[in-house]
Amino acid sequence: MRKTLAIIFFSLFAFFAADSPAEDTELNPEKAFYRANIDYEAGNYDKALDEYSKVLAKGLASGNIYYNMGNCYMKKGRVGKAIFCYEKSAQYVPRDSDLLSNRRYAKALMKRPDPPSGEIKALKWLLSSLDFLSMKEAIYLALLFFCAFSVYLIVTKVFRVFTAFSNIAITVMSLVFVLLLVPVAKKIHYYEKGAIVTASLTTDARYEPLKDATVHFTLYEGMTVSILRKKGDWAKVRRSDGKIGWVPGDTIDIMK
Amino acid sequence: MNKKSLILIVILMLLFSGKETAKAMDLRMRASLSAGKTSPGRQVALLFTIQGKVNIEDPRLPFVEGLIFRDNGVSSGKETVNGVETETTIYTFSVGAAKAGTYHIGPVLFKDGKNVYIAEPLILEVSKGAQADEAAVTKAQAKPSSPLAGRIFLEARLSQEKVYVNQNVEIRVELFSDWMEVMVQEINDSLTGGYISGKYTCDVGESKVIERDGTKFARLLFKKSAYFIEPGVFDLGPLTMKCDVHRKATGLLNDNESFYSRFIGKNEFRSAELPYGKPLKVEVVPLPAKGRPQNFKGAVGDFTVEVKADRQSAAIGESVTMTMVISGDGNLDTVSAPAVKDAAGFMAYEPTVQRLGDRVVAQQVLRVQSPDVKELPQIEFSFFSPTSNEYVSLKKAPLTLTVTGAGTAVTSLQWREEKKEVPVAPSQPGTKEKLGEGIVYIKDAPGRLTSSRLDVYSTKGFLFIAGLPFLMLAGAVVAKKKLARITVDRTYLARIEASKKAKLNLAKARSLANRGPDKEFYDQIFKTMQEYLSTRFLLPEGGTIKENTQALLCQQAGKEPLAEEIERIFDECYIYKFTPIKPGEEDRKNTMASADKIIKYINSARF
Repeated sequence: MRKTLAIIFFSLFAFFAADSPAEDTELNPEKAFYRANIDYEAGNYDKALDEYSKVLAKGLASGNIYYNMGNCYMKKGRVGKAIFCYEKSAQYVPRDSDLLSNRRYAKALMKRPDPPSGEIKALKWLLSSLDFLSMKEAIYLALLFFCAFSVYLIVTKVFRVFTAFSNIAITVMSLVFVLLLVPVAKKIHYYEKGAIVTASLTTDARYEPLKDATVHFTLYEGMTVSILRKKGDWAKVRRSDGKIGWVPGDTIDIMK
Repeated sequence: MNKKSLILIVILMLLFSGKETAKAMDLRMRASLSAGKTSPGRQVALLFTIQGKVNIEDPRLPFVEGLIFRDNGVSSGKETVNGVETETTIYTFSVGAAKAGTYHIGPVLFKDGKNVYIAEPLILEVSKGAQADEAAVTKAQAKPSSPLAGRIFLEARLSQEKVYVNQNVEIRVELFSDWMEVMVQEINDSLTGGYISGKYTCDVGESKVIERDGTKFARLLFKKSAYFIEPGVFDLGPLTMKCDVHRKATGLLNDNESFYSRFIGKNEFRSAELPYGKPLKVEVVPLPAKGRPQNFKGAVGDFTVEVKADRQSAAIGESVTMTMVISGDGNLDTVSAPAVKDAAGFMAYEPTVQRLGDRVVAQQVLRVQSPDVKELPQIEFSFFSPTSNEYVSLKKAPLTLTVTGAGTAVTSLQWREEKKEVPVAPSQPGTKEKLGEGIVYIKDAPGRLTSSRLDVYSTKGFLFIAGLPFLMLAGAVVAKKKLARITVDRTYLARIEASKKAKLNLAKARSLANRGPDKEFYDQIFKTMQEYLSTRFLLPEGGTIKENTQALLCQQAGKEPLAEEIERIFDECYIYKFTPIKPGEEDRKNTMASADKIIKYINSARF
């Protein structure tokens, strides 16, 4: 019986084993990165971006690559693109002080900042409480907490061990878990549905996905939006203040 | 021969000759090419027009080496010729050759039952750079044989026949129809490479009624702009328009319509390909080299430039955006951002350009670096004007700019070193220090490269780990139930313990079955059975196990064979342990199998 269970366990584990990124045997990502840095120093920002993009095209990424790409776009005056790259970088290295500084600076250059969302302070604080963690770190933290909580639940409720104050502990842990899930869900939502306006000037959000539809509101370069729906070359987006409109798909860059 | 006979002969001759004439008039056939000359790779239309009531088989074209034919189908209809309504059938082919040469097409045979009709042979000359044969084209144009001929036709012209490189030329295609409803599918001007154009557009507001030879036609105008990117002489054509033609009975009718069709109504619906055989020739000349400004980037037309800035004052380090709007009559595709002259004291970023249909908007971001600047840099935009045949450089007077706040000049952007800010020395004591702003330098190393996919929550490994607690919970509940049962149910506990012991003992017995001495083997079997039965049935270990077990089993209905089997095993053990009788190999195997079978059976049974 034990043997059977062990075989099942290891078979399942092998089946569900996480995919590892396929590494390209032809392109050396580090060399490409260094070549790009040389191009940056020489002022060839487009070439530098090409080299960085080659690494990304192979399914590999790092916070530093996106950071450097953001700098390239800043040099080219493309604030929206720069903010997008800095946001991508923050998903890998959210605590990097250089990144935080450059992102803040880039956002200061926006023609118009994101309109206020109207959320209460406490909720805003909760949503941004895990900003110092990357997305993977936040997800693994939630998973770890969930596993620990489950083990505690099993030990106290099934095997009736360490039952002193177990109800209170379970209540507190449940609450903490739910509160932990909120910023994690926000991170996931931002990754799945978030986008940055990268149109070089402004882009008009219209009532319908048609070129001649009435303009509802304007989005400025660097603003953050959420994607609600896509239809052909158009995307339905929601601005931070809740306004919804259709914009051409090529005026925004999606986080995922 | 008398007079009567002569008259009869004449009458008969007239009759027969009339018949021949009528027969000749029954069927008329003509073969034609839309052009007698073409160039390699260019196709011309090959038409076989048959007027008259016919029931002929589709023609088979003769094989001509080097020529490629393509069947474009057959169309038929009725037309009035000299007041007589006749049926007309047109077979249309495309023909072309890859290599230069003179090709003879035909003669092509048509069969109508017993009769054979021969179309005249045609000659097609294919040479490099050949122009379409104007005479042949004129002939095709002058005597069209389509049923729609005279009712719907094209005229095309260019706005100019001599243009410069990059200069816009307008191609105008007029469609004339005698009140037939026409849905245009495609206009093909047969030119590949060397030019860039948009699509044909039709402004319904420019439609009008035009009278030609006493007939009123509705005219639709299709226009498109194009420009050539290299000098040379180009032929646009032969131009063809594919359309669907529907002629309604109601509504405005042609004056030539019969009384019958006016009131009863007539509909015809067909797909047609209308040719305009005469190609449009355009000569493209290169832009002159003399007088070309250094900052000229290829714009051709007559343009104006408006410049404005988003602010009139800025502090050092702040940016000012200049917006330049270029509009006018010309090729806006060739317009790029105007040049910024002498941006000393500023850091100029790369300009961005947006094309908005009737104008081009360019934005130039400039970052103020010096407190000495008084105005924004001058803007210069150069283009070539085909109207005046010369280059024009528009210089916009620089816009004033006030630099606010004291501070020293920044010769380059402030970089951070070792994550510490380097402050700018204040120019006057007691004043608040103004720090420059800029971006921190790039990273020297790529860092830890991982998969670009961040959605670990959708990977199988994550789902497995997330599901583990649930599996653990299920396992824990099952284990707890088992534990509880073991504590309460002695029989259940006995079953589990007996099974465990039997497994170990049987394994030992198996190892002795093949190689061990007989005594040890049967000793092990005896021990296995004894321990198993006593544990299983909660009997004290001892000599009465066999009898007690047998009695227990016999209480269960139908278990006598099992009881007998147990007795046999115990008896065998006694015999082979305590007597000199040697068991055979088969005997040991049978004993082993029996013990196995009994234990398995009792394990699975619910006694």
